[in-house]
Amino acid sequence: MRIILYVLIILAGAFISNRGLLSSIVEKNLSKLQYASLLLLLFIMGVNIGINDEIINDFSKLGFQAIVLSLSSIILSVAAVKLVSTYFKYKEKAVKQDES
Amino acid sequence: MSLSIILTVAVGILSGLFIFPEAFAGRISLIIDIGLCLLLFFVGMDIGRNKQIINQIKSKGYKILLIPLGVALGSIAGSVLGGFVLGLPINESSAIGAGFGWYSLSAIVLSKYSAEVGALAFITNVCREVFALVSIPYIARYIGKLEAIAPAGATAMDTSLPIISKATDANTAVISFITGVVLSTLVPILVPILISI
Repeated sequence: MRIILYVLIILAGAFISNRGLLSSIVEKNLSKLQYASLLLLLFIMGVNIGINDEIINDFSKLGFQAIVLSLSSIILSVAAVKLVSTYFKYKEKAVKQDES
Repeated sequence: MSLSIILTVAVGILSGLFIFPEAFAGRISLIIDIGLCLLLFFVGMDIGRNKQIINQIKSKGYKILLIPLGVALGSIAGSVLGGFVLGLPINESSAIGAGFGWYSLSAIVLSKYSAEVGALAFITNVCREVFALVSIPYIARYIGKLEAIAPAGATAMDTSLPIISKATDANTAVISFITGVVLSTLVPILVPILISI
């Protein structure tokens, strides 16, 4: 259910800015507002981590897991785009052969 | 990557360790919820402001969307595979992978679920951005230009864009921007869905 709320909020934000319904004061300071709310949230997230003793004790384990997860994500995403670009080249070739 | 972000998290961790009482933990979920709604609203505004994006997609042809799709599927499959090796539950590993390098948003969404998964999402996606910045020039040279967009994930529209643009060409930079916008839109949708599997 929460996801519907998230999507609705994003759509509301997109609609308002797309239609130019924002006042120019908000529009000018949008990135500052965004950054301020982001920093506040990250601070709270940090507090949440600091309060939790288990995470602090497991920090090196988390670091190792993070390296494994980020590298495996990058490798498979590069492989997937490799597939897509090979498909594009194959299509291009087919079009050229049709033309000649 | 902005130093102030890392510093803010570090100051937060230290305050959690030394200042805030343990009882505060119960209220954090509500604060994150309110802040998250605010942040998502701003994210929506950013997406709405990119009016030219639809025209760019049209001019490149809809098949160009296969690239963000490939990056999304590859990232999630990769983190599930890595998570399997590490013994992580599939909902956690897939949701962390669906952060696509956008460490702030994915970590905040997931810290509502559990502080530990939020922390792991943060570090994983920070690592992803760092590895992306380092590897993009080499991938562009030895594997391919389009492939160089993949490591950047959601950051292909902002922080990684200058490097991609320098390592490839103008055409690839436009595709990189489109890829970043599509992936950034997917993060707040996919992360909550995957974690609730």
